[in-house]
Amino acid sequence: MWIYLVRRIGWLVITLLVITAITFVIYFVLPPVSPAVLFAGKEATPALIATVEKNLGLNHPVWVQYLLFLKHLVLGDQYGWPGLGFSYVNHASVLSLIGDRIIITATLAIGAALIWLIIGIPIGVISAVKRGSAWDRASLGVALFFVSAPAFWLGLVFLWLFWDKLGIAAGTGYYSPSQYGVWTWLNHMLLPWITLALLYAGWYARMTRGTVLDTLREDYVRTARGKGLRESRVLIRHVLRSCLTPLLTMFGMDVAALVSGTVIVEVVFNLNGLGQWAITAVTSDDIPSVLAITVLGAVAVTVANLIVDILYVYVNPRIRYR
Amino acid sequence: MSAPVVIGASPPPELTASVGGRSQLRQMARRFRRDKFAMAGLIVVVVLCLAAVCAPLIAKLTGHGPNQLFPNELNTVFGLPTGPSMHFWFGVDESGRDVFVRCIYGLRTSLIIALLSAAIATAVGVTVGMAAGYFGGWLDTLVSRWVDVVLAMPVMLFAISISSVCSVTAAGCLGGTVQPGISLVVLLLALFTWPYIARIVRGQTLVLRQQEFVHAARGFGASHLATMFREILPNLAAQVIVYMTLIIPNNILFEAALSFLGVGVPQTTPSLGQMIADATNGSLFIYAWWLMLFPGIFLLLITYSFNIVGDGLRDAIGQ
Repeated sequence: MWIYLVRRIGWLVITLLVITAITFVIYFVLPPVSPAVLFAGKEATPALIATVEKNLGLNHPVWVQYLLFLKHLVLGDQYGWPGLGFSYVNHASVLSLIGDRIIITATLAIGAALIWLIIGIPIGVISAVKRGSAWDRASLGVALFFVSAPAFWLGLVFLWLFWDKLGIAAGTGYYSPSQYGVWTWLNHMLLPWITLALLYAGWYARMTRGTVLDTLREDYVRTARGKGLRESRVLIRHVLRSCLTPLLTMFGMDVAALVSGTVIVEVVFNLNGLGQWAITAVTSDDIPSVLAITVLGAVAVTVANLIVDILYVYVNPRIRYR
Repeated sequence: MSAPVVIGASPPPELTASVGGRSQLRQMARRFRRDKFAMAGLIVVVVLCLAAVCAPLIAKLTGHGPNQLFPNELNTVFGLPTGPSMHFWFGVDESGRDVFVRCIYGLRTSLIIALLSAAIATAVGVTVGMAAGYFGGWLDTLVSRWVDVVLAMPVMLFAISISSVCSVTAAGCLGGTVQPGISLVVLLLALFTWPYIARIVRGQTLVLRQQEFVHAARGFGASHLATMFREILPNLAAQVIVYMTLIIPNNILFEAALSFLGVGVPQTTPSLGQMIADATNGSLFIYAWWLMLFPGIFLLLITYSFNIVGDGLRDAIGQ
């Protein structure tokens, strides 16, 4: 098992190197203008461009620039750890700009993740057990609806319906619990959570239904029933256990991918998280910020991959004895 | 049995006429036709595609162009757009353009982009996946690892990054080959979706490679290329079609999301995502709900029906 872990961590490092290299290529090699001009923003003076050039080490060959970029990332630069550079457009270090926003994105992601797990998986299981019934067809149709509807449209429809027409939901914006109280914070997070969760809930319901249906055909389920166990015990103890592994893999990946996936919901509901900052940065030509968020997103997904693989070892004993 | 059965003789004509082999694709089509939901989805897809193709015709019939302004239709007191009426079925937008015609044109943009990128992704994915599964060894390892890396990338952020970097100057990136606009969106979509197909194709190829008909073909002297394209590829077709049908709705939604965020197709091209984004300016959609609702319904319809067709196809080969 340790050999497996060592191999996986080695692979994690390689993946991170490749992804940071790709990000580096996008920002330092791809643009038609010098990266210094790109990073300094639209209203850059020649003096500023020269400073940026020195900071990024653009006088050196490309591979030295990449190593410098990596070194800042891993070891930190003069603004703190991780070294994400300086935003010349906003006159602040990128780290300070995104520090608070990470919490908001994390709140959105975790809340939505809990909701979609609680809604999606039970619906999928019940659909599989009652296969072919009216409930099954209805829930499949509804699940497909939420998978097919664009998330940003759904958010707007919810705002129009529940906030304007029916007046039962709170409006847009983020209200931190420390300043406005927990109740206001919760009220304003409810619609964003639900909007984000419904898409994934539909997907998970479908996936769970498929996996449970496949598992119900297995021999050991027939054995368990043959032994005379209660159907609920068969379901919970035997079927769900083996269904959980593919779901766990998907869940880990999805939560990590939420670092970038919350962009739409944040923009629709005006929550100043990482996603909305990425978009604002793009429109204001704050390239260092976009670079930082891209790298963070990529690292999050890759690390989540590793964590899920490690958990997999504990959930699936067959790997342990390789 | 009317004729006596003789061992070694060919079967009587009435039997040979009715007994014939059905290819995998034919069986799939037969099962698909029996599935009512799948057929309904297919009909909706065909109708919407036809509407998209006939967009200029529809514009001519209604007399309203997609970018034609009708300032008289705006509510003269506040300059706000008017809602659905006899002449403007879906109302007008904030500049006075016909929303119905724009929706059809936007649907056209979405379909062109989604289908084009799906075709490119399938072509690349099938080739790479087949090569990886067939030859194995270091090629397989390299491709598998590369697929893992692409799947690990946060797609939205990378798309935003590339769009922003290549939009800095009008020259685009890579000496003008990567221009902001439709070609960039198509390229990005194809870039991030080919690994899904490659992975499936690789798995299938690994299984098919062991089959006897492949050994037989090689024994007859078929080259590697011929074996791959004449023996293995036809047996992959069914699965590839299913996954291609499932990639298309994803591409439609992704392009709509990119356009909504402002990093998709340029402003001059009508796009459903962009129409919804315009509706959020100053919370206009709270009053002018038709600006937001109808483009979204179009997106929902096309995506939902493609998904139903994909599900139907998957059931048709799975049984």
